[in-house]
Amino acid sequence: MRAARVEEYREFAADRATHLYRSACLLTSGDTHLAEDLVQETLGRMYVLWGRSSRIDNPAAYAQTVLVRAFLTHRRRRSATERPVGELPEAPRAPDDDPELRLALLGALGRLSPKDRAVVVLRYWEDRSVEETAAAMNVSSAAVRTRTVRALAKLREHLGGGSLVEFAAG
Amino acid sequence: MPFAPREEERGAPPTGDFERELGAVLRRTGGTLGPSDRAVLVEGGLARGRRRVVLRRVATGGTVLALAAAGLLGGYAGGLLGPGGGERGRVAAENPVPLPSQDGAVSARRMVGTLTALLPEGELTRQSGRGSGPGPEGSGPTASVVHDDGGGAALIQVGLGRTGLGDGTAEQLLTCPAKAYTDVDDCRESTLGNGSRALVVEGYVYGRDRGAKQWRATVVTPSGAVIDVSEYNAPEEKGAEATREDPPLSSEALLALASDPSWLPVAADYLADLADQGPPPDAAEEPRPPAGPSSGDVQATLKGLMPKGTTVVEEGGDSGFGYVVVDDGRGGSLVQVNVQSGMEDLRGHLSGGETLPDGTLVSERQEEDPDQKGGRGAVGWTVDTLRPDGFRVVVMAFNAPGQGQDAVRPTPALTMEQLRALALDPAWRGLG
Repeated sequence: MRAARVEEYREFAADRATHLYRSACLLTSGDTHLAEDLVQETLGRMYVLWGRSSRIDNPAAYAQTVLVRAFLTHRRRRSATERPVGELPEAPRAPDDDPELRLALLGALGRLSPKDRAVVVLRYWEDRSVEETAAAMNVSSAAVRTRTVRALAKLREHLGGGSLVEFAAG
Repeated sequence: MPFAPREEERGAPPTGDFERELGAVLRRTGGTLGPSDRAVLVEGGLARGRRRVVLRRVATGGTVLALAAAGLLGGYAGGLLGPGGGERGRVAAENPVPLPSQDGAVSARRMVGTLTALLPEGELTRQSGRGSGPGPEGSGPTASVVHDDGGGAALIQVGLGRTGLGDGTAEQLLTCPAKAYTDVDDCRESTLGNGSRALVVEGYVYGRDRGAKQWRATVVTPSGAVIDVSEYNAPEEKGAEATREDPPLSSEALLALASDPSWLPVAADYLADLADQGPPPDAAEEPRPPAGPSSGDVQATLKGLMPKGTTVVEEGGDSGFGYVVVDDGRGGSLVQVNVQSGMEDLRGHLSGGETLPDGTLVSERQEEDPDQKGGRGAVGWTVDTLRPDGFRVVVMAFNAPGQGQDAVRPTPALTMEQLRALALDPAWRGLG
């Protein structure tokens, strides 16, 4: 790849790496090693696309889709050894960091099936519509709606059934 | 990222408030998560991407200019023929089931069997492989195993490939990486008794101070088959703690393994299989080298513009890119340049700086550890220039003789004024 394109790719990768990592942490419910691996895998695939003559319309959004697909493929391979929730990302403490909330949220996400988790991350973290979520996951819009309802109910149950705002405040 | 409004769930329980709160809580929690080292993600992604491209080219016998970039620009981490396990890191390492449909003339079982038969006694785990059938990336057969001779579990991987005939692939596979960009403990090129040529590199996955050691032997036979073996001092290429000081095989033993005659019939069957398959359908989509300034021109121009009193001790380049390591008697200093056309879209990026009378934008900065490769005390000084027509020259000088290396002097060998003059020199224009 020509140097200019490589540099452009580097800027893209540096720009997106943190967000992709955050998405990956949510998808893996806190498995930081797997999250790093998925981000590298995603950026690697983006590099190949970058070298092609046709430009990608919205590379940032496309990278998120690649990440979710890499995650789901990975989960299919490893579904027999679903790991329990445990590890917590060791992030530098941000000013509004709330370890208890983080633990509870990642724990609740970890109890969802991988596909339900992907739906939650795409719709409520990535702010994608039902149709966009369906396209990213190669499933029907109806399936996304069903999963959304189910996932929200489970999350609500695992997070104590009350208001998240109250939970966060408590 | 699209921000389309979400529609209400039809027939769903009343979860509206919870939905809104969930979005807020996800953002709040997600915002506190951060990678311990962003550069690891970027460099790791780049290295994997380059390997994907190289894998295809080696397998299809296409041009391999990307290989030069991989060596030059620091994407040298993995074996170039990084087997499935290496390419996908730990994800694939835990996927030991070779799919029968991927087995061509050379089966995964045969690859694993040939590799393990050549290993010294020890405990073998996590054996996996891929056959020579057409894979999604047109890559060659591989085998991967974790071997423990009692001194600590170590990943050992092998991949087969082929070089194009007379296209320079072999030379690039068999040339030691540029010192300024890849830190290795030892690198040796050799010719073996049977006419095969070999490269043995004692290097690192990420760098000297972090991650596993990777020792790698690459053998290219007279018929163009490539046997590429890597061993690590850890059970995974990435993400695992080192289990031992060095990888288990000495570099001599590693070379003996890679050049063992038992690979020859396997490689011959693989090459025959490739000939039957023809090129993969997407070979035409591979990036082609641009008609930009050639590496030789950029390199020569850069060298010619170095100030008096400095000696060029190392040099190299790629299309639109050149570097020299200069020494003024006070230690080596890496100076690199990118010469690019059509970079108008960077105008905003440079707009905070100075604008010259002719409309050229100039941005100067001095940073610590600018490439985030962790050299102790390293600083990088950059002068970025963008002409009104999108012609860009950016120069960067380090107080170290290579990327990721520790500082050997307080400042780079060139002053900011000299770097500025270098970037704005009319000589570059002639190359654009």
